[in-house]
Amino acid sequence: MMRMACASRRVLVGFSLAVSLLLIGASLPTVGLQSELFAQNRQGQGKKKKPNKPVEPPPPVPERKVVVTKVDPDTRVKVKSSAAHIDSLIEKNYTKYKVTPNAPLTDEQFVRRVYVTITGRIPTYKQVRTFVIQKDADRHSRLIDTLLNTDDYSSSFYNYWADILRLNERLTNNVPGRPFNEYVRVSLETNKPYDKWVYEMLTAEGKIWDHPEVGYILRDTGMPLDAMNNTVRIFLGTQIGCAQCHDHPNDKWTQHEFYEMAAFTFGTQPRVNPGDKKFGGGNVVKKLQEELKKVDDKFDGGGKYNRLLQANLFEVHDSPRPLKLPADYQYTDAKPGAVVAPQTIFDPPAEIKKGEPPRIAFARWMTSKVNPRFAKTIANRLWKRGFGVGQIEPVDGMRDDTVAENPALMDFLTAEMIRVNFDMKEYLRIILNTKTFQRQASSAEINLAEPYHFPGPILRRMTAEQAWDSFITLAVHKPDEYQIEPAKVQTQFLNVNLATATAQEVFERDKQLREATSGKMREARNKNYTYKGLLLVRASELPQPVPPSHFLRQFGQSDRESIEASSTEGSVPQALQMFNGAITHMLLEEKSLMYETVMAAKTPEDRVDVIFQTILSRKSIPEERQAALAEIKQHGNAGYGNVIWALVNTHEYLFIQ
Amino acid sequence: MLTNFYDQMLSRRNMIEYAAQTMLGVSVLPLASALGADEKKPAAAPSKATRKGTAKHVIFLCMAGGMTHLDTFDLKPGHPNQGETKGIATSVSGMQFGETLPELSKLANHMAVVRTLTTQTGDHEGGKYLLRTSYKEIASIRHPTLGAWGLKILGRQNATLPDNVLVNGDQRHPGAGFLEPAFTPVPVADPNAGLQNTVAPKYVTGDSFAKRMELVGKFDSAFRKKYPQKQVDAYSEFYRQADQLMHSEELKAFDLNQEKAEIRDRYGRDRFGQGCLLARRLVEHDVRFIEVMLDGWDMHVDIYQNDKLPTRAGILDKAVAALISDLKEKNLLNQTLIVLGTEFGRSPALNQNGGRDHHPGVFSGFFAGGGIKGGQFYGTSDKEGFRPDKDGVAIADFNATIAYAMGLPLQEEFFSKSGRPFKVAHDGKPLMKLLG
Repeated sequence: MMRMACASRRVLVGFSLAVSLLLIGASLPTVGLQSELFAQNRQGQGKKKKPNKPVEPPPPVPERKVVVTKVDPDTRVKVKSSAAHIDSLIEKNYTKYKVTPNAPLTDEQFVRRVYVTITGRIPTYKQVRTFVIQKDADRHSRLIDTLLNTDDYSSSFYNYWADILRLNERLTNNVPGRPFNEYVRVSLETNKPYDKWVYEMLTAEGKIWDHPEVGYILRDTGMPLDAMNNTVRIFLGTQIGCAQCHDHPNDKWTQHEFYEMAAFTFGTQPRVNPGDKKFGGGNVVKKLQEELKKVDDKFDGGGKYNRLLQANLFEVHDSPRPLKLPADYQYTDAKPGAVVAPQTIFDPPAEIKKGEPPRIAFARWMTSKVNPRFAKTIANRLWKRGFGVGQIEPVDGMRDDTVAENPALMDFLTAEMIRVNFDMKEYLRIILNTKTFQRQASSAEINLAEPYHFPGPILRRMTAEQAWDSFITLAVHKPDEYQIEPAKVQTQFLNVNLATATAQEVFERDKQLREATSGKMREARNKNYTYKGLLLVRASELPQPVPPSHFLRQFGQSDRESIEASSTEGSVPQALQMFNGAITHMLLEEKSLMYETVMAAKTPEDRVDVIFQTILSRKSIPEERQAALAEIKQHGNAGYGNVIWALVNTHEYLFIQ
Repeated sequence: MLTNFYDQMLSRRNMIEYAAQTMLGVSVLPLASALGADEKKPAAAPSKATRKGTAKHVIFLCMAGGMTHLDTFDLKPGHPNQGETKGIATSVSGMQFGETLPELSKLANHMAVVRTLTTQTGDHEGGKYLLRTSYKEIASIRHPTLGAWGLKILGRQNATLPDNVLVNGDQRHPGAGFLEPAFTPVPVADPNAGLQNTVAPKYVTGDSFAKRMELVGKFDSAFRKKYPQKQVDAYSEFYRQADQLMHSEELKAFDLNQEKAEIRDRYGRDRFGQGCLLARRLVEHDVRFIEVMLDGWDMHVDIYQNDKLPTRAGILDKAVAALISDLKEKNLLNQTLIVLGTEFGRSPALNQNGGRDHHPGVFSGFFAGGGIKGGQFYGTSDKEGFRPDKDGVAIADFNATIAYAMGLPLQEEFFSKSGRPFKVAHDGKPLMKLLG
């Protein structure tokens, strides 16, 4: 096996374009050569290999230290009693609506579902085996805790929130999104209480380099009314957007009420004017650009310095300004152009303390335990994450007359969210410990028009990120090793105080930034994880979002233009990707984890066992085993390739039952 | 309670008509029809697909984000709302377009521009959904788009290539709605890349591919039996289509490298320009319905800044002008209906950030080719560009015009699995004045 000469401290994955590819499927369909053939080939390759030239060691790759907050082992008893209570509430509806609950999951099904739900990927062969040999009654709960304590959890739920918060590498023309994206990730790693997290985002001020949470506000720069609409939709599960232009046609909200809500945040400004007095008068950006002309003999008119100059004008702050009704306001309760005072849409009302910007009062009101929709919305969202359907659907379309599928249950879930102080891990731990979560997925077609009474979760296709990360799990030895470039690599240079900065300093910083993000640096980070131009790392470590032709987008990753724009629907390009795409092809390569795991087993029978458990997390049934063995007998090594290829192309692989 | 956006503008008589329609549950979208106040209602459309459509192909250009009407097709010279855009003359006297559309202006004689589209939906997702389906987005059902209706009712036009294609599309496209998943448009994320992964690795021969598929069938049978669900069946269908497509001779229709560089330049080398070129190639290969999306019209801030309106309109102008002339040169324009739609317009008054906000009250779109009588404006908005003055057009009417040109039955009811009836273009009435 060819090794890179420049071994970094990371363990090499070992993919490289330089390696001539050895495919299981590439060997001719001759019978009976099996492992000898591979051994020969491997040797043959080794002979061709030239001695490694001494090369310059790659630059060190800066990494961010990850500390994952773990669940409290002492609360497990309470978790279980809450889970049991949830089950009892669900069972009441079984009786009421004459629903037969689905059978419990087998251990093999459970281990797959719980890995996909928490870690966002299928378990490895080893992880399946480790679980299924355990027999004690507590094994399910223990695995749930173990997985919630991994960074996989943060990776997987980062993808979930990326879809809701529209995470993007660019927040405005010149402000990068990376610091905010990382902030979201860290909030999940540290399991920041949800109310605190949301409060931080809503009340954030300053520049993104020092206060990455301002990214939430910067995301809607220039759209102060839409911003309120988005905030209410995401965190209160309520759509008031229609009332932005006119009274809501099918909810009670009036346009006046919309404006009253928007008035809380209307004074929040994302940007400071370059002529602001804090910069000493005159247009500070123009002034620095003029000076840069003299410092930089390759000055391009200023464009290349925008990321240092324009970006540092983005400083979220409050500067009160009145919000007026539009000129075309058509209702009789107020006049067009009348100033609107902030007022919340639900009681109890927000109290604006003397001297504080109204949005602080708004944030306090929204994230309060007594807000009737805040805890309920997140409880319902995470319920849907576990079961595929919310207690209330759509999760962001609550109205006064909305009735949950099981109101007593919805109330209990909301109360639990409050009881655990918005600890999202603890809440997930409770719902994943229910009998209901550990039941089979429903077989029959789900009719969206009728309430679903939860005989078990529904059948779901993996999300784009789950599908991608599962492939990575099959292919790569250490799927969690790679880390996206930490925000600090760039922010340490991007953070410029425009009031004091000289042109020389800006010039220097630009140079340093270019060095820190040079091709050499990128290569040092990516080289060992790249296969045919594809970076084989977890979805959470890729740019947000990836380009439209990427596997992730084909499988429905959101374009991040609107809230929860992801999709789990099929398409022809997806099928083509599964048939012929690089990532399927890669599984058949000699250095893939898949290949090594299979080859570690000795007999064809054992290997078939391993293949099934690796890809589908279960053993084969006799008919399948027979078909697989016949294929291998007929086509030798190519047969293994064909079996692997066929299994990842099954529906069972993509759908979580 | 007031339920609609512009109640005040309705005359009392129309108000009654409107209320009656709403109360009878005839439609949730009667507003614009009522608004139109057109005494001479267009002749009723035929009820069944007995007539042959004039449009064998449709290229639907979706301007995502909400295309400003005041700066493109509905100018208000002299009014403060006009902002910085100036009008320019077109090939049709009396018709003016925005100055950012110099090439399209030369082709106005082929275009019928509708300036009185009107809806009540001011959010992007809802607006695009309505534009594509003629129905409001609701949680309990997904409505089909016109490409899917075409396949359902008229059958396949091309035996091997997908007959419904979405170029540069978004993930939330309603696709086939409640119809068979097989009618879902095939998405092409990047027209430059075409349809990817259509070639099996060299070691997989046609025969071994079939063998592999056979194995898939064996390994999957238990699962598929256990879960007889639409989402599962849909995958089987996509696999079948993908398999068929991989082995199709006509695949090269998706390959823009087959075009000369001058032709590719003519359309613009951006994704929308190349998407329009791809659409033309697909039309040449007899594909029925192609949607090409151009996003970036959501200009809340500094609309006249170079990277906003000038860039977007420039891309649009170049690509669509090339498309119209190219189809004309190839004698395909008569049978190809080009439609430009958007989810809403933009607020007539510039906001404090120098941008325009969402404005569903009135906005513009156009038709060209496919039997459309070009060189005309349909409807006029009021002097502020705020609401329709005359001949308001609901999205359902706009789509009914497309459907009518395709030869789709407008009155026939189709039932979803849950037994609810739906029509191709809701209850829209085609704009017969435009249909030659």
